[in-house]
Amino acid sequence: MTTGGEVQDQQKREREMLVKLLRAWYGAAKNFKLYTANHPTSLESCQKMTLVLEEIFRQRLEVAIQHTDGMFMVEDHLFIEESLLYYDLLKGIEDNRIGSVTFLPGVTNDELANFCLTLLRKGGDAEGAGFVTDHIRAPAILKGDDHNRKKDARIKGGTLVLRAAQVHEEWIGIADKLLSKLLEEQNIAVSEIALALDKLIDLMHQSPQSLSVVVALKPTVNLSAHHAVNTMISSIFIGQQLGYDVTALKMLAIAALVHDVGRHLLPSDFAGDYKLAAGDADFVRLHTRDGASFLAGVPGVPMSIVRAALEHHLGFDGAGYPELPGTQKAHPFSRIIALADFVSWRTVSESHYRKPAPMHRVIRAMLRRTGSQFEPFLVKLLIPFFGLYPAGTRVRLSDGSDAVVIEPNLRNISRPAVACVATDGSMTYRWLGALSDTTAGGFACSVNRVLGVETDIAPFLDLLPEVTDKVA
Amino acid sequence: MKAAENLPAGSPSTPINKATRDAVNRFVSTLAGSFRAFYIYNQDNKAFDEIMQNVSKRFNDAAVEQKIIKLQLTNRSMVFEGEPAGLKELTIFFASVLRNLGYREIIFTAPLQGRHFFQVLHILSGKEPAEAKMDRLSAFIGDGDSKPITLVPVTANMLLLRLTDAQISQRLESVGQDSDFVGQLEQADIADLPDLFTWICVKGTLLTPSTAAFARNLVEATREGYFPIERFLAIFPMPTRLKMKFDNGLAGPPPYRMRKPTPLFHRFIPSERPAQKQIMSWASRLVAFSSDEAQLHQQLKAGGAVVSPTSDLELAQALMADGGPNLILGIHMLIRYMSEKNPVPVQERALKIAIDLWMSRKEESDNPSIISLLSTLRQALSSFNNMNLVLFPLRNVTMESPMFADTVAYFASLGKSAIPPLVGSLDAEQDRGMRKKLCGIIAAVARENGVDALMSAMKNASPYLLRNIVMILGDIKDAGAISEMAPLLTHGQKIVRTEAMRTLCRIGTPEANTILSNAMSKIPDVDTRQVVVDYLVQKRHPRILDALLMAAKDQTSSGPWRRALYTGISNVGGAQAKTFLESVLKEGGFLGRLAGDQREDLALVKMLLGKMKA
Repeated sequence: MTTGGEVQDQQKREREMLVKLLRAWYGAAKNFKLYTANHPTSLESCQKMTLVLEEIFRQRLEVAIQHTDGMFMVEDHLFIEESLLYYDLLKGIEDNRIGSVTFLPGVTNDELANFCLTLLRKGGDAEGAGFVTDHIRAPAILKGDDHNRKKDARIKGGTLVLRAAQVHEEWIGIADKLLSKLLEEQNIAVSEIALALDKLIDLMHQSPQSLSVVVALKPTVNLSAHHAVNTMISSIFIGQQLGYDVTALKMLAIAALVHDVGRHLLPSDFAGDYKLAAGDADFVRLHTRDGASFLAGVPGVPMSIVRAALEHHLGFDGAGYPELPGTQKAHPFSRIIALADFVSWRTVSESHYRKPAPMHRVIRAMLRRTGSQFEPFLVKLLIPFFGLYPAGTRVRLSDGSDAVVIEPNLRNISRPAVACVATDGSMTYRWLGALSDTTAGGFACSVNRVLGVETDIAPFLDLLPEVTDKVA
Repeated sequence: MKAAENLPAGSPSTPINKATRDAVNRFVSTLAGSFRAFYIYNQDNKAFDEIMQNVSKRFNDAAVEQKIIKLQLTNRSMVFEGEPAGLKELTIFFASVLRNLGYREIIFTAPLQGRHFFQVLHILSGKEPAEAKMDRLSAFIGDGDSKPITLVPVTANMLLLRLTDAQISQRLESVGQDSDFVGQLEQADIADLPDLFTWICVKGTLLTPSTAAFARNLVEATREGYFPIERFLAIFPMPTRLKMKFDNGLAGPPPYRMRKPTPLFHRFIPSERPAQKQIMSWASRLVAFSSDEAQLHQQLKAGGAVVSPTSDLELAQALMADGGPNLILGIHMLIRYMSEKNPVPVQERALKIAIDLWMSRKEESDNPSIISLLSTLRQALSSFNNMNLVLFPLRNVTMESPMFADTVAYFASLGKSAIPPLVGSLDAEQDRGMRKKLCGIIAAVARENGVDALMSAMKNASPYLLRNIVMILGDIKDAGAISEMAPLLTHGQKIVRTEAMRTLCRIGTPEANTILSNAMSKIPDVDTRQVVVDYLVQKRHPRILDALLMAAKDQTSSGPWRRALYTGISNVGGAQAKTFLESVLKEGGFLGRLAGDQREDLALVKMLLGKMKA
């Protein structure tokens, strides 16, 4: 039986041996460059390398050294410092188009000397030379053999939306688990969501439009999780527009995810009611303070998250609830989440006290409340995410044709990408931000009026043009 | 920023051949790896020369076909021409550092040498705060002109925000002179600000590349809320008619309405329609940031999510003062700030508030709504860390001062739970005076709350601490401690034995005296035994004479101990004592003990008998 410590020690020793080998190899290659092939110094360095190899072969059957993107690798172990320092050696291997070098037991000085000489012989032909003997295997990579992982970088725009939908779906699962764990165990497992959060923030960075489409149109299944995730996505967008760094963004995201935890602490008997009774309104108001009290008792939760739960129904003008004593101002997180919460709740809520409203109505409602309930500045930051005509809105264009908005335009809130549907059912893609070719440089077309809502825009997604896939 | 605004999908770029891509990958890995090396080596390590040389070699390999290598930065990777470059394990750190400092792109222009890379990496890996780093890196922010290494900030162009109006106008001079551009703008029939911005970006192709880039940056900064719209409209050259239109629009009344309070869920609906017709559309208003808002943007960005803990504490204090349901939330928040993870000044502040709260609310133990919270608060207050914070100022006051008395009263109010941390600090304390004060405090606390906690602290205590605890128990004179004292009378350390004896004497109940008389002859030190004998005789312990006689008859006892016993026996007095002493005198003649010892014994006994007769 070996203990963890012993295994670690052995790994450390093995790594040291491999570092020794690389150093000896580098020394040999360098000496062969400086001296003639039969110079004693060169031969001595070969001897040294053989000794190190012999020592390694007591432990293992072979040593396979690979390199990717300019770094030495042995079985997933990176040798960073060595790669930085032993440039000449690495360059020699790369020039010969050798993907990996395998040393086998029984390797002789002569073989090593020949190998080092081969490495120095700069690959005159692009094919590369390669070097294979009984005890050293260093085959050259064939032309067209893709050594480094590379894929087609252009994908269809619709694919990104589907990917965003997938991420959203994943997040609903995560949010559901997180909330139930929070309520049962009084614990937020930040480490469990860190990776997914990274993915989401990256996606938001690369393609906010696709997330916007998903938030605007995905039908609600799990009310509280859906609301939490939608609030989080809108909050992340505002945070990014504000220029928050990653740490602050993540904190904001978690705050948005758990801001409504107080709703779970309300008695369950009216949660299913469609309309609220007159007295129940006061009851619902309790969820902010209850949620904050609950979160304050959870170890490790930063105070900004507690404050977001407490203050997310406070208005920009100070109205709203709960009434804070004195001259307390709402935390920046609370102000952001108040806005995101409103947009999300109005679109997802089915069971409580409102029917879900179509997105373009919610946007209008938000604009009406700007300056009273919401901070105008934050509204301005959020608006490009949905645009004045969010995805799924059916509109009539200035040239008389009817169209469905399929993607918001982050640069110009009133000119989204639309799919025009002709009477024969054929669909065409139009980017309303495009200038017209014929007139003196004005816009070709714009939205005249809103007709209604198209809940299923999947058939139109194929129209979206190709984009560069930056999400690794 | 997209190259062409009217092509949302990005324009197809020339394909990069695989060799270049591989070379770039290697360069990026090496660069990111060498960034890590900056954290491992000292700055003056010789290996750096070699590493930096190798980085520049890698760069030169990569920059054979393209003289300029642009790397886009995400939070996790560096992207070259649409694909992540380099080994992810290495680039993730470098990319996130750059991204966190607020850069979205890094551009390398050949030819480069090791020192170029060194400059950037040196600044990035330094220990300064982010602001200082950004200040030093501002030399690398290109503003249209090319530099060896250029950093592109996430925000439109941070340098732009530092330029004066005159400088910006100068850069845009050629726009106004370009009749083609202005002429087309005049004809384009722009109604809204977003359209104006889009138009400028798309038609930037008419301008020279550097001017177009500058104009685009300006537009982007305005659109994202960093650059106020008033300044933009004043600076950017455009037809007078258009300028007038937007100027007038922005001068109009604010589009926002006041609301009056209404019942929940209806309270946010505006109460009245605006009297004046809006001059500008919503679309325009929504992309126009006033200078106040641009300032707010800067503030929020610079502060990030950081709101000082003191403001949170103020909120907690206000909530507690408010009472009612707010009290509970306030106490929750307060307790969070009393943990050791916070900076000491914050802890101290929280502690001060908590002590005030505790002293005013501790009597409310019959209030069921806050009873559990009060016990949590008590727990937090009596943590080792918080106790130490309270104890520290006592070093400079005397035990007679009112502050000392107040502190003792506070500790006593915390109950038993205050004793273990107090004993802990007593154990760790080096200063003699402070130890004395601590003993006084512990005695006062234990006197009110019982000695159980103190006795359980004795189990693993060091001899010095044990002596102190025993002494405190003696001060308190609690009969409950007697049973614990018995084994200590034969403790390995003399200081402990003596102190245990003293404590038992001070407690002085019959029970304690019995233990003393039983353990008398087992105490290793004669002087201690003497004290015990004197004490018991003085106390007239009922069975003392028997015990003394029994000990005196023990043949193995030493000379001094024997003589102490004889003295004790004579002090008790009575017929039995006299008979015994006379028998000793008699036996002394027969048995013939060792000369010196015997003579001393006999002399003493004679003297004692004489005294008794008298």
